[in-house]
Amino acid sequence: MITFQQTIDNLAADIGRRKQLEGKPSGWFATFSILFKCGVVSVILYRFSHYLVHTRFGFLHKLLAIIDQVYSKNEISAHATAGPGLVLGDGGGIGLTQVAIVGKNCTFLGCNSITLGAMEDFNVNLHHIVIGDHCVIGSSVRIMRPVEIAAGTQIKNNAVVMFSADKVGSVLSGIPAKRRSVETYENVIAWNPLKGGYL
Amino acid sequence: MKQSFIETLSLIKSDMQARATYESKTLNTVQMIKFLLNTAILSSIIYRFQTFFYCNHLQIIASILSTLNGIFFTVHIDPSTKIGAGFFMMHANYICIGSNVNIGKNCMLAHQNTICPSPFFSEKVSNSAKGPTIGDDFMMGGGAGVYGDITLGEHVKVSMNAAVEESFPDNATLFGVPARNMAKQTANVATS
Repeated sequence: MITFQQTIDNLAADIGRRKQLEGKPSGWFATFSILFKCGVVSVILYRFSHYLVHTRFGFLHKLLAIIDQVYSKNEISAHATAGPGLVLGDGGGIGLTQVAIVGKNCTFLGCNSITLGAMEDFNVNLHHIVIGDHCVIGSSVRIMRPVEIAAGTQIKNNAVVMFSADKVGSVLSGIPAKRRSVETYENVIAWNPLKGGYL
Repeated sequence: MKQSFIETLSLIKSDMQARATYESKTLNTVQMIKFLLNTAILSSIIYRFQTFFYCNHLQIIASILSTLNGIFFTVHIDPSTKIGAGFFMMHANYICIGSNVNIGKNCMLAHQNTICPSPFFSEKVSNSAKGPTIGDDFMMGGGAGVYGDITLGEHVKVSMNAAVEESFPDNATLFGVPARNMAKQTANVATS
């Protein structure tokens, strides 16, 4: 259960982080200029549908999901939990299931899918995909099992994650994804994933 | 970089010519009107106009066109991207080309391609904001991605679902995640 005030606070954190990563100045004009980008619209619609789904107007989250699919082509379940500072790429095609629990200040880029559909014996009440704080998830990444990913993990493009990554700051790559190197957590926190203008 | 209106139109014609060559058709007026119903051609036309507005100091119109291209065709190309003549997208579906990217002539993309500066932090490589620099006659399979401050030579082919994160020379054929050069092996298969 999430209150309306928490929803607004999370939303302010999301838009503030996006502005900070893109290097926009503070002020209303800079906020307005990024407000129609696909990733920002998707985050706004997700925040309100996540609030609405627990109230008696819960049926409205389906309408918001349709608007999201038409505008930004992302499918983000209203039951998924995401911490403040969520940044989605503009590429579209991001799928977050209801079992996903995402930490604060995570970045999803390009078209990636985070699903639990590929398992035969899963239970949506028991299994969760847990993603820690400050994770960067590249485009076309598939997370197909109920794994736990530690804070500061970077998953490179086109990886298929099958096993948990419990070491903080690890870099995953390949099919199936393996740990290629480990970065220090402070460096990952200070890093700006949108530095080169990655959409 | 400066791009006049006439140059923009000639670039659009070269894009249509690339598609006509691929479909083995002759490019006449009727064929051009038929191509206007093609989503891939429409999105490349929007991209050419957004670079035209970007070069003529109308960045606001360029970014609006870029967003519209994303909403209608899911083709996100940054206005500052430089792509040479003969740009050919096979399908306009989840194509994402970031800023600071240079692509040569006769580039051919399939669907769900990503060409962007690296979003990942690494202590070993330089974390510059520069994107890939790609030579002429570049060809990409579906789902493939090229990212980071790298240089690819001419006549490079990237296979489906490959993730390229290193520089490669001319005539390379890249497979796998992370990508390796298999030009020798594929040449042996072709001759045997």
